[in-house]
Amino acid sequence: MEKQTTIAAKKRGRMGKWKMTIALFSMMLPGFIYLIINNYIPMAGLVIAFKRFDYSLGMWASPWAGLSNFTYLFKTNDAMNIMRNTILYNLVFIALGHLVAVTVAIMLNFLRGNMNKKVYQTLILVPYLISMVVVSYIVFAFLSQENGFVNKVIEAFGGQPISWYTQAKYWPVILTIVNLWKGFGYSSIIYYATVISIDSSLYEAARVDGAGVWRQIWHVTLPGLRGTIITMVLLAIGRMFYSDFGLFYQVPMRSGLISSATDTIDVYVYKALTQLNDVGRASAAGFLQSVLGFALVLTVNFIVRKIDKENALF
Amino acid sequence: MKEEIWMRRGKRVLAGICAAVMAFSLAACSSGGSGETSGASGDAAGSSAESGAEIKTVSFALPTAYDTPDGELVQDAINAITEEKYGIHFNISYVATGNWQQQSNLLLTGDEVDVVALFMTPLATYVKNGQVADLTDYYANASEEFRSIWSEDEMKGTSINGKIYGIPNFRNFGNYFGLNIDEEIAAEFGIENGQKLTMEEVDAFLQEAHAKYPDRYGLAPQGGTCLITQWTWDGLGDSNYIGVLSDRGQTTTVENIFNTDDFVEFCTWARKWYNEGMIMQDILSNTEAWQPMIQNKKAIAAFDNYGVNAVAGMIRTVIIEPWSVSNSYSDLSYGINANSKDKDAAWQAMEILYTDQEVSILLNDGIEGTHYVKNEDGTISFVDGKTASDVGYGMADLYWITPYSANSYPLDINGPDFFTDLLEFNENTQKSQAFGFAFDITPVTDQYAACSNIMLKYFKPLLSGAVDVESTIQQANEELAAAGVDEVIAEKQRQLDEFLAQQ
Repeated sequence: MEKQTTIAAKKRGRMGKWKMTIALFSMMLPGFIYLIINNYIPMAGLVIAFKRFDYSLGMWASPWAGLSNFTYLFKTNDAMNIMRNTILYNLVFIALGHLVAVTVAIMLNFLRGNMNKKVYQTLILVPYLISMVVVSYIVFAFLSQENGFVNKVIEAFGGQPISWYTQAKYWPVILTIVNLWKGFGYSSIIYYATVISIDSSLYEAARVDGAGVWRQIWHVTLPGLRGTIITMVLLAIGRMFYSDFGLFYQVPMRSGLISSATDTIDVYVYKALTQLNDVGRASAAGFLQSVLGFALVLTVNFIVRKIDKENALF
Repeated sequence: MKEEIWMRRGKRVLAGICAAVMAFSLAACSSGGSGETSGASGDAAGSSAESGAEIKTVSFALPTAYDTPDGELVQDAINAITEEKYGIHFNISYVATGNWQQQSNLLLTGDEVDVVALFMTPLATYVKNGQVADLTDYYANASEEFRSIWSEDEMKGTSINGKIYGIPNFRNFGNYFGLNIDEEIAAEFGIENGQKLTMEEVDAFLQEAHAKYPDRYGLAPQGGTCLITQWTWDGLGDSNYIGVLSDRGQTTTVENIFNTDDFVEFCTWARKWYNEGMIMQDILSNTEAWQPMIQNKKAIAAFDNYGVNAVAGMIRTVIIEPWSVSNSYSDLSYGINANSKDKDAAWQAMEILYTDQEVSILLNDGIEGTHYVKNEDGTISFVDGKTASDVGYGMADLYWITPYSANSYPLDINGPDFFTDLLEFNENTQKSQAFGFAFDITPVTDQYAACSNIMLKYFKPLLSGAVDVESTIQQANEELAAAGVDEVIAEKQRQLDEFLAQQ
């Protein structure tokens, strides 16, 4: 009898718990539905990567093509080149991008006065909000051969103007700078949100122990940011085989001559297939990018879990 | 026991979520997919109830280079005629040329369009992808009036393997190639409209004119980032020009364009002018249109290809007599979506577009009084001195886009005899030896994709003058060879030989 009541009580407790959590679950629902519709249902389309797509037959009835849609991604010298570009640019962007973002987030934290903080937060976010097409013209204003700011400066010091849009060697640096400038504000805000949530008593304790600013950053701020940094980097690594199409397609002003330094997988596929309307080959490229990205995330997460189980994503 | 309840409940919740997801996605699909067409067919059903006959709705999409905010007005005017006369209700979409390639491909994935312009994607690709319907039988049974528009030969221009997939529209099928010159400067140097020039004469003129007007560029880039993209080479339906017939298509040997004398000669001129400061140094990243550059006194001249139409503010000269490339007819034609639900009605609509004069006039010129006024000589002018871009319906300036503008009124700047001139021009145009041939890329898609990226890299820069001709061609050829250009050219030659043998 006594036992029964406890079970009933437990049951009621669970019911109560359920009633409480259902509210939370229902809040998750819109996002969940969005994910299913937007990210999971379209996955069926991956089948197109293995089809010779015929519009009149549709996705399912089109004939199978085996792996023939993938071959063009591996056949040529260009193919190696675009793989290399995509990966190297991403590595540089991830490393420098997060370094700059964390630095700026910590600097923001040292700002005094609410007004100041708000102004800076807004200002650093501005580049992120500018469309890539506009960015490409800003870059052009700097690099135009005839009227560009940089060439005018070079000429003022007696140098020869440089034809930026015809020489590939400058572009790894130019694109990195543009990417950092455009993206640091957004990531900084994410890190800043973590920085301000670090318990201030930790800083007090550090100060009591005689830690200066640098030691406070090293022993309090950075460890506090560790989880966020790992998550952000892992997410970025999942996109390792993708690239910012706008950055690589628009900013070089579609100048063909520098394409050895500016073509990434996305840009190459766009340029190669824009005339062919070859849905199969385009899907094959996307399929490959996501599979490789997925494998990479699993691997890195595995390594993170070995080193620091708490901060692994899963 | 507890676990069981928990699981059962969990399952029920999951089932609920799934049901909700499905309901939601189904709703989204149906509303996104056919919202527009169902609304339109609702209209049609309403009016058919009044007239008593069944009215069929046909969706029709065509490109336009101007904003057409009054498109709906015109559509209503057309429907006022066609619903009664033919029982057809048109649902017209005007798509900006810049979005055409993407939008038309999206339209063709479903049944949202019936009659559609086949433009910017090679006809052979549309056919290979199964995007367009075979029109051979429809055409064979079409009205006399319709069949008399194009000759049997001309219909070969839009046929593939003996089957008709598109109906050519009315425009210039060939081009003069020449130099357009600012009309004031031309008058000053005694050059007349239609005058024949050699490249040496062009050079001499540019030197003098540029010396006199040093603050203007000698040449504006007609090709966007190069002087011009077409000249005497025929890409055989391939706008990347991987393997061409040189000499105005008067040969049957497919060659790498970088090895043809025509191309090297033009590029050498371009390089010379670039080094002389005749061409903007930033040409490779240029985004300015060439016409306003001449009209606004920023440039003296520009190479151009043209039919019989005029451009305000400049005269035209002739360097190369008119000729037409192999795919000139299939470059822009009208076809029927392979997924169209009612192809019979779509074909009927097609016949209306080509043969009904009232409909042609509405579609091409807009509404009288609202968009244009008639002149005494039979031409029309935009109302109140407006232009094609701000009149609300500027299709009159785009006679080369609509299906059959010959039934409409010509625009004042083109003159009263414009459409007869155009017919005559087409007759006198020399056709490429490969006329009607279209290259099927399928057997060499991988190599073609690789080569087209290399062409994108070097083709326009060479025609812009911004790079050294010899060394760039050498580098391009090395890369092309590695990408398998020989296989593409050999395949093109094989298909061409086969095509010629059948003629």
